Amino acid sequence: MGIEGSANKVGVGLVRYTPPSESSSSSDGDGGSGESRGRGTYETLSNPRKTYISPAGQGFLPRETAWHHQKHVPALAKLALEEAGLSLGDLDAVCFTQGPGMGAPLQSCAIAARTIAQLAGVPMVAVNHCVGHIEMGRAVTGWGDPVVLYVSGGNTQVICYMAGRYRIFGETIDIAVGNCLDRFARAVGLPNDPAPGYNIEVAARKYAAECAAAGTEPELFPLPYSVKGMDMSLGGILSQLTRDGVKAMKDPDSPVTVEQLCYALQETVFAMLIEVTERAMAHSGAKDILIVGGVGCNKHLQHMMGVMCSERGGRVFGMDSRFAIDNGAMIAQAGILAFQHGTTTPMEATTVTQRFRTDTVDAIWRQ
Amino acid sequence: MTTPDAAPPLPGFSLGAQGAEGRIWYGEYLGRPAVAKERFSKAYRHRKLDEMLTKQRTVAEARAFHRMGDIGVRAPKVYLTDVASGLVVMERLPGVTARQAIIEAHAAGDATRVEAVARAIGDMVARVHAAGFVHGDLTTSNMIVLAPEGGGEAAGGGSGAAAAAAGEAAAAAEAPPGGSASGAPRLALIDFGLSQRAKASQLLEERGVDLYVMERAFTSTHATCPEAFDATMEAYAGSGAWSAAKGPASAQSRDGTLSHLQRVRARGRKRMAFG
Repeated sequence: MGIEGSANKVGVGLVRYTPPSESSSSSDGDGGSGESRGRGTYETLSNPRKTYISPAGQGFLPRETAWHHQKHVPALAKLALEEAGLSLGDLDAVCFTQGPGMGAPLQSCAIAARTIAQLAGVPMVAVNHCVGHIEMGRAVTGWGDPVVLYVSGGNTQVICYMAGRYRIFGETIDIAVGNCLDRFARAVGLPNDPAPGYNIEVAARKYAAECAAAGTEPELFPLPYSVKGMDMSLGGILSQLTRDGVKAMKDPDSPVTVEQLCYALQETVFAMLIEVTERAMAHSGAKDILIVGGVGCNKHLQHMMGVMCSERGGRVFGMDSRFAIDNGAMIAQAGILAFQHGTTTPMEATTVTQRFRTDTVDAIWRQ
Repeated sequence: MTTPDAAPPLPGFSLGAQGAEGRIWYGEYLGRPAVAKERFSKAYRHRKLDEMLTKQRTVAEARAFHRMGDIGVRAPKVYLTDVASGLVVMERLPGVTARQAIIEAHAAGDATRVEAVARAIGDMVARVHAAGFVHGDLTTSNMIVLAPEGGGEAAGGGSGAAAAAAGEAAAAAEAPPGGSASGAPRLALIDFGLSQRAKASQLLEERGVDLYVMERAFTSTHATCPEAFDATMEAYAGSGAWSAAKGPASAQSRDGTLSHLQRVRARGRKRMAFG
């Protein structure tokens, strides 16, 4: 069982491992690395979740989010077992998100995990949230070795596996891309429902479609393009938009519209993300890309990444809710790999941490 | 990665590598070993953004040789630039990347060599910074440990011309006469597409970020060899480049940069939030 609640989503998922049957030792057809050969199958049996939607005009705050998670996690755990047709006695381990994330929501879910583990009499496994995204992504896409672009409200990282760990090749040096989008949306009054980033995407698409219909090239409101080595800076874009962008938008003599700003924001920020990802690909020799995290749901980002990737003869994996959006099963998936390699977390070490770098996890299952 | 259908920018050039930003071609230009760097247009980018970036980076690359030459830092001599097509043809420097040099020396257990290369990196970066420039992409793949002059093996043959050019450009700053493999390594810096002259008001920030990028490159590429970065930073701080009484080349400016690096790092930790 995996329990996730590091941000505004709380989820409980069950993952079952079935060893390869002896008659067919090469059961998985992907036939890639030695790691995947002879591997059994991992199956997500159930994966219910709930999302806390904050009131319009504000983000989700730790306390309210924790209350939300506390309220829903017991029912989600029951539901997960019910959907899978299992009971507590069938569990082998309870995995939980140790971090990174918001303290109070993490803690609420860790308490739920400890309770369930003790009721079931099974060990616990602490999981790094980012590694959860990555391992679920690998499980779903055939255990390859992709470059991972992790883009969410709190994280913007380009990750590659190297020498026993998931190394952060590039990342934002100030704010996360999801944070940049959310704050811009709030500044120009776009709603939080269903998600601020989605509303930006829709507005940008509308502008691009209008231009296409009129046969003109879309205007690109000038924003600072800031790639530093493999890292990028997004703070300047946000201040430029909330200052000059909003001013131009409100100026009746200026043709700049909110849709135009959304378009420029996406074009600029996504180009930066893709440039850094491409550099990581060139550096690591990886062909495929896995996009995880909430911003990864943006279709335009997917499209742009696809264009880059096809030029390099690779593939893009994304838009799969099993690994793109926070959920319990991805925590179970990363946890089960560690568990199978002998890792358990003693009760007194099941504390949570808000800051937990991806590259501090010893990925023993990959060594 | 190779793209078989790509045509060389100049006759006789063959494809060396396809990086993220463009293709690298090797060949001869007016009888000298040359590298042609071709920045291609990116189909995923908005046309205007693409044109702006290609132009900006091609110009930065082409300017670097003169800028670096003035401050005694070796950079490839530029033979030909075509901003419109994003092409820069430059001298091919004989040697290996610092990345390769460090990895090989580390694998061979040669700690002295690792330290020597690392120290040379620190001193070179200090020179660039003290002159008010930032490189923008300080990875060890963008630094060349030059083959020893005379009798040295050129990475691609024809060492004579390039080695002669090296002697002419690097000024007497630090090139040991007839340096051998065991002597102090001589370094060159390449790949200036992201380089710029830092605005005075942004100097500490830009340099801090430049060092942070370098630190990140070291920790990801040379993860098993942390002493390399330590030696680099020690040499950076102790470089003779910080000898001015005031201004960007002063010890005070260096100290400001180093403390700014701490702030950039702290920013880095903070961004590891949730989601």
